[in-house]
Amino acid sequence: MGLFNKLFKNNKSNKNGNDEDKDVVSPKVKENIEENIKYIKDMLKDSDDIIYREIWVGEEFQHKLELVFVDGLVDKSIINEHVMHSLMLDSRQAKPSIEEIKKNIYEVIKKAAITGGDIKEIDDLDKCITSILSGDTALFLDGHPKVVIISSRGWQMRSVAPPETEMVVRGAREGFTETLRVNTALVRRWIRDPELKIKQMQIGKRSKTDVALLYIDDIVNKDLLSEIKERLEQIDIDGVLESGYIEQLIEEDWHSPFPQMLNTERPDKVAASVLEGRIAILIDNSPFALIIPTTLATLFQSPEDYFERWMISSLLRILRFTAAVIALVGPSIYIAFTSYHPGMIPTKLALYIASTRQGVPFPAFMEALIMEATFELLREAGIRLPVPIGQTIGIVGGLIIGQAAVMAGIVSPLMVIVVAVTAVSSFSIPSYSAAIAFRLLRFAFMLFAAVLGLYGIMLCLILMLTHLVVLKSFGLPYLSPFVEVNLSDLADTLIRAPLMMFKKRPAILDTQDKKRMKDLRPEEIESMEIDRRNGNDKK
Amino acid sequence: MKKIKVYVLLLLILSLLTGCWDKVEIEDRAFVMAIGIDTSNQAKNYIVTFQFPNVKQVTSAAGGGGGGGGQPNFSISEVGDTVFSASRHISTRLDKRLFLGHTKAVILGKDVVSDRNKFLEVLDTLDRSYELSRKLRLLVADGKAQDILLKNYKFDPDIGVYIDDIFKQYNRTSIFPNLDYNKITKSLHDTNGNAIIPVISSGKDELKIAGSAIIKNYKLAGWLSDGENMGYMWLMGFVKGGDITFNMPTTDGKEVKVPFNITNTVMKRQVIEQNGKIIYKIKYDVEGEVTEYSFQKHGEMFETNVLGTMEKKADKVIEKMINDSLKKFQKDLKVDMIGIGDYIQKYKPALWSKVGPEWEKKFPDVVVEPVVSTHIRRIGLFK
Repeated sequence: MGLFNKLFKNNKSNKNGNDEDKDVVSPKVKENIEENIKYIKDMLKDSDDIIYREIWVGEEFQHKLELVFVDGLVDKSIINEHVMHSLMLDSRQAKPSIEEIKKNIYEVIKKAAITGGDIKEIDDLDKCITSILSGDTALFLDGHPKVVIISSRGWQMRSVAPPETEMVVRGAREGFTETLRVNTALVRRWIRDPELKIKQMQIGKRSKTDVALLYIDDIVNKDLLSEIKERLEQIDIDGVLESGYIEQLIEEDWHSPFPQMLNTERPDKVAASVLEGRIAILIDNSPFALIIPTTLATLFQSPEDYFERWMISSLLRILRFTAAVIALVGPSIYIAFTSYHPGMIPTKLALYIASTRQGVPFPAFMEALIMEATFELLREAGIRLPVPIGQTIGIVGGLIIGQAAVMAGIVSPLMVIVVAVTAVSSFSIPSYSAAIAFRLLRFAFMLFAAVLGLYGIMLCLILMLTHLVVLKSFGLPYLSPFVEVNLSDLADTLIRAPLMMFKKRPAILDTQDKKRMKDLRPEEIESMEIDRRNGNDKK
Repeated sequence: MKKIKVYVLLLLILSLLTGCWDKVEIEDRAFVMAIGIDTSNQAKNYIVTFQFPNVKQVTSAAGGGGGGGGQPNFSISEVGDTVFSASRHISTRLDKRLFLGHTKAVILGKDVVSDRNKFLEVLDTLDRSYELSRKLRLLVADGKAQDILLKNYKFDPDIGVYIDDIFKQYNRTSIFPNLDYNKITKSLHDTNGNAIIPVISSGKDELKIAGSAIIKNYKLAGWLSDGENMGYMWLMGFVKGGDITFNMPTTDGKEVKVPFNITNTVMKRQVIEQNGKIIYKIKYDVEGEVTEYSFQKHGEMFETNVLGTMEKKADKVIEKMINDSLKKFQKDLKVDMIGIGDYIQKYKPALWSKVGPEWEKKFPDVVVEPVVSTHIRRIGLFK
């Protein structure tokens, strides 16, 4: 934390990249088109993908217009059909009087000539360059001190595909893509509320990445919103390549292995979080949205929980929490029991373990470490390998290494089972970043278990809990709602209570609009049923 | 940064200063399944026998891997001045660390319980052991414990597990008490040396647990036979199952034995003080079923009150068992091991403060009135 503050205090002196540039004074658009084009060409020197297209309009072609855009970032059809075609051909058919054009060519072009959807005018040449590099088309007009920016963004992009890291059985199959605009539109499709705000800013001195804040204005906690905005504005970095950059730069405690922001590539998850009163950050070029604030309990929630019946969802929740515990302490319990407390294992199992470990040359800790390391290695290799070969690693790893190691007597068969169960458990946690945190801590637990047995595991658990209790995500205690007594919030933690009980938004978020559902009691539904059966249906 | 330094320091302290002094890998431990303790006439006082399973054989029996072979268990005897020193000296003959955490049974030779001092010594050693489970079975051998442990039994060569499994079925017969180490030592220390300990004996290929040894003042005072033992179990309310037999007359004047299987019993107790006498009333509601009986003639079931007769006969048999056992405790031994004093102390504290101090003297004069009412359930389909 101390270092975090220091980092930001230093930055406060030169707060924002854009502010600094303003001190240099950005040149204004001149009346003379040649000067403007010269400036642009100077700035974008040696960039061969920039296209300059001169157009001459007017009766005797005395008016020079110039289009500037980046090849590949623009939708050529927009430029051809809605800009060039309009300016060069369609405008002639309209035949406005020559005087009119001479006098006010800009007005004519803006009002009548361009059929493109989105245009705006600016007078700052540097902003103009940023627009060009973002995929817009700049239209320079001779004798006019402004530039028309025509939105013509259109590049090759991945289409909307199922979110591969967060698959569900029941629920939407759409996942975010790498294009911010597509992503915000996906969320808009879930919430058609005018209060859903998509506040955009650019972060990164050189990358100038678009970052969008999504929230519902009359729900969100304003303090939280201004806190996030402030932290985002303080970022001063050359480029933001992925939402992970933002996450790491604005999180509170960078020592922690636990993610203080939830990342997701599911628009429905973002929509649900925003409706709860959380804030989502979407970043251009990243299919992962960040959700703020995040607590430990939210890492165990999957969108599917709310779509299936509550009993099944509750069971799955309990299963996931159990899986987290196994992923955390599975191998360390094995180490502690076999090395220190064989009296705590049932007799027949103890004899079995002792029997399978006959001739194993390593102590239980080394055995566990070797197998865990092998597993992590296989997992890492599995990600790197191309998909067709990826299957092979499963066979090589699971069957050959597992079986061969046991046959060779290097590890005991029970250890293979423990490692396998631990691995499966760690993958059943919905949040990948939480799962890797547990995986990392697993090694710490193993070390403690090897040195101190069960006592060590307890010690390590206490250390971890102490850290979790102190940890905060944007002012919200990471362990809430477990740390404060609030029954209504507990309904969505270890279990997922019936939807009827979620009448209020999470109290821990302290939202403006706290109510979320009308108080519709089952009796009322029942009486409605009876009414309908009796034919007294209120029409 | 300071925080990290503190963490690192803590970790170093943990790993460097504490060490793994009690860390013994599971395969380096010798699991003792049963212990036998006998006295010796030689220079040393005790012969202690330890029985270990052959760990290598465990997996081969389960069908996995190679290894194993040889006999299924080992027993080693060691002599020592004390039980503890014997357990230490046995390390000179073992390649593994002795581990008593899974010991299922401790068998005391008859000569150990016959000698008060030795019995006290042995008990103290067992009580002090931090590894021994309080749930293990304490038994008295009808001869030498060593003789029981040095054999290989066909049913289950693992004697500790064998004994433990026999105990799990105590309510099939109720002829030996289902007492573990914890209950026995509690009784010994609470009543100044009085307890019942089940008796074990060995045949050629199998073990048998039946009857019990009566310990009075930390010394063997007598034995309870199978029937007396069941009487004791009745008095304590331990009977939850078991079988009794009563006689039914036949038409030709003879008698036929009818087996009765107890399925459940409920015991209710009451103590009344009358004319200076303590009356201890026990009411039993016994449920069970007659497992075999051939009717003498067709329709007997409905004409005569056969069930009523049977129930009365069963009552008599149970009452006789209780009275026999009672006589043993009240008249022969004069020791309250049947929980009357305990009951008065718990539920009639006023009376206990009066009779408690000289309970030893009062106990033989307590009037015990057992009332048994048997109910035959489920008469079955046979006519």
